Amino acid sequence: MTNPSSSQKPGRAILAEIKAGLLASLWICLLAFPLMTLEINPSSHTISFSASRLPFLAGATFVLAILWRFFLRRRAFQGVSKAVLKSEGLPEGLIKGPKPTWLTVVMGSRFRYPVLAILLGFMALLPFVSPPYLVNVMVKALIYVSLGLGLNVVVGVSGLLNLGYVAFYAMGAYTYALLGQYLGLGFWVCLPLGALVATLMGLLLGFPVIRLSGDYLAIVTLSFGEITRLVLTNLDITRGPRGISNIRPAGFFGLDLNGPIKDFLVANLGVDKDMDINKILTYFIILGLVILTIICVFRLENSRLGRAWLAMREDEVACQAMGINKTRAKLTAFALGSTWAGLAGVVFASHLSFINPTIFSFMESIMILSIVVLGGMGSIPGVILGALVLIVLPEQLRAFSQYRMLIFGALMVLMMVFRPGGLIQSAREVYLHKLGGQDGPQGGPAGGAARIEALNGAGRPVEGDGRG
Amino acid sequence: MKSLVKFLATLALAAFLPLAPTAQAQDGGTLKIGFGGALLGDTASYGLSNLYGIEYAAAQVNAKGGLLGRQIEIVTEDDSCRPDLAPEAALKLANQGLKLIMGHTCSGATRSALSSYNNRVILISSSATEVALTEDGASPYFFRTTPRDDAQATIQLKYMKQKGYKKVAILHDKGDYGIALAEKMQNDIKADPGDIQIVLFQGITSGEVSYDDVVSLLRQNEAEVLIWGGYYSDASKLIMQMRDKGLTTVVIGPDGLYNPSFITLGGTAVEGSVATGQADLSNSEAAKAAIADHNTRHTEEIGPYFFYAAGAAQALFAAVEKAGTADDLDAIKKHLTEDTVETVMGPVRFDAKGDVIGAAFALYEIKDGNFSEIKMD
Amino acid sequence: MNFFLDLFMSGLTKGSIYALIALGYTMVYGIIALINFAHGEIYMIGAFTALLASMVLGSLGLSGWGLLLSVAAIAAVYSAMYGWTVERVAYKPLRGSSRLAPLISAIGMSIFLQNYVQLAQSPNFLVFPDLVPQIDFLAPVARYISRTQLVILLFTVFSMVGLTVFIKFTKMGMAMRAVAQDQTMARLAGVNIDKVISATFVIGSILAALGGVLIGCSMRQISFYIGFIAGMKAFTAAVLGGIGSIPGAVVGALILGFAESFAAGYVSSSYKDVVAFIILIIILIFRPEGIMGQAQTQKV
Repeated sequence: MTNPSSSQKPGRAILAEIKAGLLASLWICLLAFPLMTLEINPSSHTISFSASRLPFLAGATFVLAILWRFFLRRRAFQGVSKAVLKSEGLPEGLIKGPKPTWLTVVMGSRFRYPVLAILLGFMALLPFVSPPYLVNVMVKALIYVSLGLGLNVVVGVSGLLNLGYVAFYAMGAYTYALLGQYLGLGFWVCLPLGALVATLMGLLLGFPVIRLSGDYLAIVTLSFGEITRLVLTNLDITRGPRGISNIRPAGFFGLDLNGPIKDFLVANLGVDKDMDINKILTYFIILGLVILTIICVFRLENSRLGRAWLAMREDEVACQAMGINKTRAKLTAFALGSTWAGLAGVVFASHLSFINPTIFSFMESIMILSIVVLGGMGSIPGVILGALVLIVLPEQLRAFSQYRMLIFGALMVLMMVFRPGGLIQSAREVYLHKLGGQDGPQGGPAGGAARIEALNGAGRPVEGDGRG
Repeated sequence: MKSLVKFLATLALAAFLPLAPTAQAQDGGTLKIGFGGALLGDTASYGLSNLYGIEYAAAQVNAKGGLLGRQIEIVTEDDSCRPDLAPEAALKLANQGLKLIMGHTCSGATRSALSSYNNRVILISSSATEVALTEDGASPYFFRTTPRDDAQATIQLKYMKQKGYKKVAILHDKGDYGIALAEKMQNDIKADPGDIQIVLFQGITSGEVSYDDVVSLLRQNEAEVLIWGGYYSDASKLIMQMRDKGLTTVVIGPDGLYNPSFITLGGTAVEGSVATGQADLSNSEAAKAAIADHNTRHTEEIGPYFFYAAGAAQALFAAVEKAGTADDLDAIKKHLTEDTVETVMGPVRFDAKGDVIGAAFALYEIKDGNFSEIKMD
Repeated sequence: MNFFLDLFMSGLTKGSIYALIALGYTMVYGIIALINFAHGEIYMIGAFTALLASMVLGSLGLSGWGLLLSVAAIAAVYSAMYGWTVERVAYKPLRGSSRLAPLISAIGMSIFLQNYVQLAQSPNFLVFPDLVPQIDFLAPVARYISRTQLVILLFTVFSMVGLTVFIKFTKMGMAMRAVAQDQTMARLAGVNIDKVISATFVIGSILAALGGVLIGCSMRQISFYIGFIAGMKAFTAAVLGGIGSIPGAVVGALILGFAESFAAGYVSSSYKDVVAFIILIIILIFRPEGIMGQAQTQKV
């Protein structure tokens, strides 16, 4: 892709770019030719031809191809500079650590607490000044943040690829729905119960599958997710595909929030008159849950157990050789991840007030996984950003109506191609450079290179890739 | 890279700002009617057939000068038939200040959308069939032109008894529409079995590559007649594979099969199959004109919910015209429930619960590639 | 006994359909260890191209085996082009990054292609013509096996054998095995990795396209969504058989097909997928590397 000599003759380089762009657009038109020009009329069983869409496609792909090449080249140059650094064994690169991002700068500075306080204040004010639609989207985004953070423990931190995460989410949601429906239990009782059920199921699944690695683990978890969905569909007690409706929202000390309290809020705080105040309560519950999750995950990552997970992700055999109980580490990761899914599920059921098995499809697991990977595996701010992007983006794209998911799919590819490590890469080894002297802790260029790789973070395989 | 992260982060934050659609009062320009339903995903075809019906009704009114002197504009939001996406679609519509909304496409999505609308809008669905949506009485401004799930079993059972079938297999597609139909039939038979015996009651997986195993099951249980709960695409595939294997079991299906696409997909294999459907429209001039109009605009065949949707929209427009306002829900509701409107799907008036009155079902048998009505006493 | 035979045949058909798609998954996985989520979409595009081609060629007067073969050829060429492009756009720039990055971009690609076909063609089911001509000698046993099933079965066996021969005995096959074993070493030995990976995608896509044509003939209706369901089952089958192993994909697909079919017959069709997935989990617990997969010793 890179062609350093092109900088010498800009005219020729531009010409080459145009040629490449034309070629790409020609190729895409060729690809799109039958599907976009031929149209079937099913009632008369005839076929018609119309090339009216092709010129537009050609123009668009021409521009996109040139942009694509430009950005890919930029990305490649950055790779080169790192590689050069590596081969030269330059100590500076080693000492500097990862490039400071706005996030690490803010978080490392003394403004950390004021910034966090302002952010929190903003989040706390948001539901009072926004329309119901925005609050709804925010609740949903926050539910996915907590799901993403939970899965992050399993996939990002521990390196266990779980494609059936949605099963535990469903367990939480159905625990509340069923207990509420049949026993009349309230939200606050069901919240820990939902988490407990999900955790137990996580352990139950965890026991047999800890022997499996990589994609085999992925397929077993996928199967588990599908089994859960199918059983929920087939059982009578869950009312099958018709789902459970009229799930009660979370209560607040038995008060009717939509009564005088609402009138007060509408009159004095400028709350939207169409707002369901229960949604505001749900918003604060899920916000609290997310904050709790962040604290827990952050503490866990830097605990003995968290280190064990990281070691397990990097190399299972070596981690066992170090005396880490692999079985226990894997099981706790699985179970803890499931706990958050269960909690999020209970909140979700109370938020939506109606659930059915179609919500908990395989695609949902994939979306949560995408949140983790796209945000940056193992990185807490990354996962938060990932959830916001993946949940808010389709909402933003509503303006494109029928092209919404088309653009969403393309953006997913683009984000991955240009940020393969995720939007915010995990920077867990930042503190290492303080140890290093001129030569780094292990000394020597070889150690330096390994360190840089480690610093570059998310370029880690999940699970040994099976071929050593 | 750093700048890219910064850019994306700013983008993500800024993304929330335009998310807040300003609740604007309807200006004097166009009169906006909302449509919420499946426009994407595997159920998109059902949603689109609803939308086309509404667009047809709106175009008719617009050509005659509009409603209350204003041109009708349809605002669409997709929910992909998913209950978890429907609230956003619903709130997005409601937040624009829309008071008149058509939708949603599927029962589950309608259910969760209703709680988001929170009785702020008139909602008319033309394809949500679940009984409880109107039966529970929790949504005074919800109406539907599609018949309910429980309406079809009665006439189908009557037909089976008339024909003297004894061994009945009931299959459904595990969807909310299909399973409701199947269970209603099962309960009706159990309540008054006569000679009829249910030999099989199972759900099959929609969209499978092959239904040969189900065919074997039908053969093994010697079913004379198959009651199908589900849509036409799975049914046509299943029937074709039955006929391929030489199985002659008669198939009786719901209004999900009363659709030209069923015959197009099934070809000669579906010959002799029976479906319940709305009253015969083939002699109605209005319906003929609507079909002709549809075929000039779209290449696909007229969808299963086109007439229900067009009828719903016409009834709504008539009620708004008579009420003289597009904002007063109670006034519009009054006209919807008190006046009978002549629409492309026949006369439409709603009862107090919100169900359409007098949408009687007829039975059709497929003969020579056409639905022909079975006259019953 | 007849019932058993019926179920056996239906399991066999289903299994061979899964196998056709699973072969593509397993090939790509074997070479670059990527679960190619967009593979199901390539199969769907193959089926759509075949439908369009059959209508154009049919109106030009082609029929019989000639029509089937030319339609299959066109679908194969187009799917190969799509497969190649998908690899170039969504996976190639991600080589050398984490294992999950290409997985996510594959999912993005899959969403994109599904919506592309929905918008470009139709959200509805479309009739797929029955392109397989009458085979007279099958008439007496039509109760058990239809002509389309026979063609699918034969084709699956043929492509499995063909692929195995290709991998074992041709130069490109050897290069593929080399890349599968060790990319760096293969590059050092002068293997053009980009070319090998592109070739893998092209072959996988051709198989998917032929699968699309045959399955279209068997189902006689297609929609933009068919790739997702078939793709998930095929992927499951590939893993069950030992992902990366070509005979494994076929064995895994057949086991899945039989499990579903017999579960439908003897348990309940409502629960047949549950039974199939439970069998899958049990097999993987006792043979964690899949049925035909080789146990890998992990190097530190």
